[in-house]
Amino acid sequence: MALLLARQVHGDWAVILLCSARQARGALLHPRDEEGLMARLLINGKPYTVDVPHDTPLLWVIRERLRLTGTKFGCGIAQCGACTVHLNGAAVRSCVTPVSQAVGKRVTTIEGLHPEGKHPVQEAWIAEQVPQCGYCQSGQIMQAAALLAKNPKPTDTDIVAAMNGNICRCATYLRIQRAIKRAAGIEV
Amino acid sequence: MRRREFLKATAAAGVGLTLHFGIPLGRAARGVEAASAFDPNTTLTITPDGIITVHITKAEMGQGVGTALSQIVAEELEADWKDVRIDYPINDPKYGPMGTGGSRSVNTGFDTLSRAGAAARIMLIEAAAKHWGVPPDECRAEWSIVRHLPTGRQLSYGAIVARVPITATMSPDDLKKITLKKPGEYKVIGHWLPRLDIPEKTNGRARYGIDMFLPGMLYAKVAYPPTREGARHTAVDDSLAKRVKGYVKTVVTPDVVAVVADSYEVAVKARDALKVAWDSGPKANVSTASILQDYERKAQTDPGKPFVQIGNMPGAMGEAAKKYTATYRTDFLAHAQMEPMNCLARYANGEYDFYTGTQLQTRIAGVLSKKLDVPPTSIRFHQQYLGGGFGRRLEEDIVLEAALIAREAGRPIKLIRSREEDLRRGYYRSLTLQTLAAGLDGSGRITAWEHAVVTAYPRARWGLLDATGIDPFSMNGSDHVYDIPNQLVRAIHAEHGISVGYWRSVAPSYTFFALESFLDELANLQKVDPVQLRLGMLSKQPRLANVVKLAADRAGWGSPLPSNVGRGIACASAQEQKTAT
Repeated sequence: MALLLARQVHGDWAVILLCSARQARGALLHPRDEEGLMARLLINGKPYTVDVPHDTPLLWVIRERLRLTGTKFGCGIAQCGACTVHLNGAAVRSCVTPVSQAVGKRVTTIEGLHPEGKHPVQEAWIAEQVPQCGYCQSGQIMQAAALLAKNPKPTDTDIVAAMNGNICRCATYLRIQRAIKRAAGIEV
Repeated sequence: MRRREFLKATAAAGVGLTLHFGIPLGRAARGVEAASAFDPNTTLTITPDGIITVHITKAEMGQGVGTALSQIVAEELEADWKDVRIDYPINDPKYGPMGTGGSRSVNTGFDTLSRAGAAARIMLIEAAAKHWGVPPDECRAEWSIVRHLPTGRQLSYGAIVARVPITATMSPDDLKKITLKKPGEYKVIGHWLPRLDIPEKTNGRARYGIDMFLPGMLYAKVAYPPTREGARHTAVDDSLAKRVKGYVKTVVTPDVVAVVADSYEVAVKARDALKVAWDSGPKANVSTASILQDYERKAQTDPGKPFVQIGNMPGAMGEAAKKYTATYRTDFLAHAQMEPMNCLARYANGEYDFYTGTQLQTRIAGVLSKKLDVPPTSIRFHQQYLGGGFGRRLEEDIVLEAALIAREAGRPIKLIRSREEDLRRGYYRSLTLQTLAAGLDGSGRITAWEHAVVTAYPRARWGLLDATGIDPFSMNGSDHVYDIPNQLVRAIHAEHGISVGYWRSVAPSYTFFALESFLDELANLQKVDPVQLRLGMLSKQPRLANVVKLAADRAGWGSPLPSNVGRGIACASAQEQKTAT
């Protein structure tokens, strides 16, 4: 028997479709147990239902289950930023975000940042020719877009502070900084 | 003359022009003779829609190689840049040895690709001329269009391949006779162009090896021994792994212990539930201290092999008015590419398909061919973008593991290493110990130079050391261009059991560190200006001397600095290039 439950997760109301009453109890009493649950997710405006343990990192659900592979696996411990997505507009590291935390929130990945890939940050990234190998750049762009949504005219210090957790092994940092300023309409 | 000695273009009207281009390929080209007319070395395809696809046989790992090589082809082809696309074909002997490294793709590909583009242009002009019934020399190609100059008629490249069946051959001699453009005539080369791979790297569409899927695929995780070379499993107990929901299979071969499961997370869980006993092997006690002890002994006692020998170093050192020595040490370095090593592998009907990014298709196919007992032609790399290479993807380790597991699992498997595994299973830049000695005459001029480099050789691990017994890629840079009359560079080979590999920039990252640091120390001891010291030894190297002068000038050399701010200069002449920092 399926149950619909609503509960507050980090201040947001989450709707969880549970497979059975037993699992419903499990989810309530042991929010980190390893029973499977049907998680209803809203990603890039599209609803998805996935059957995974609710401690599964959102990253693996997005990448390997739903095959939105623009979000990258880099370290698995929130140290590199390659997996950055938005939860209700805020940048989070999806590799350490349990899927249960995404339930009831808007998830945005690089594929959904703009329907045609023409978000000002994406356009600035092309104009400044930022990517080299490109593997970290989805995360960089998502981090930068979240920064500008909150702080439309960031100072250099603001940019460094916001982007400091996103590693680029090709060291495109100077171009990242220029592209963020370009997207913000700041003279470079 | 054999078929592969010709440049040949054959296409039925409407299908598109595929330009087939033959160059002497050496041993790697075996089997080409037996191939069909469509199998010689292929550089580009033009389809009736006018799209020109340049086939890039180099790995794209952030260096923009696809754009650079396409520019070379487009220049001589007289292609309109907006028509140019790139793809990364599956490995095939027709491409010759496939490998990417050493900053050599443009240098080594320039002439071949220029002539391929020019040959295609000549063939398109001839085809258009034939269509119009006019002499080819009345026609001219520009911006992907052939024009008949006297009448003004024109055909686009797309229209030509759609309407005119093209069959043409060109011998290597004819290819050599083509007059290429002079740099002053370039329209594409040397002009700033946006990189072709960048848009899809901003919208999530770029595909790396880790992003690939196959129908029916499963996920694999390997149980790695706690030590590296020579470690072996002695017992595997998978009873707990089998209880993990989603577990599919345990794979145990002499080389690999792995679990296959229906998701990455389940594979991790099941692998962690394995109980494996290990024989840690003969290298378990190797440590930095033991390696350095061995290095120091070798530096004292092993004459090594001469990598550079100019004049009479011992004689000049004996006569020197002043002598200085210094020792430098560099540590092991991991490549730490952003994309952890991964490979999607399928085994079916005795053939292997790998969906991954690799820097060295030809060598890896050769190694796998022996280990998997299949011909190299049964090993296909479906080349994807590399989330960083830096030399790490010159190695076959992840591909071999994926192949063994896929063969045993009977299903395609995707193998992804964690970051921790990636770092522990690296092929590191070797620890090096370098001793330098300089002898100066009474006027302070360096007259004698000795440089001993103690290091392990990746080439030795690959079994590819030649008769010199020196790995040149481990010594490069110690053959600097400074004008010193008596020099001896000694290559001292020291294996230590830690897996070493080629690491970005390769040897210059440590050879120039040592020799440029030593020059600064000499400048300091002699109280001479570091820029002048270098320029004094670069009179025969005007280009590098200019680079040094320009860098010094731009850095405001000699101008006062705030307190606690320093300024230094170094230059490098490695890999046939001139750089200064």
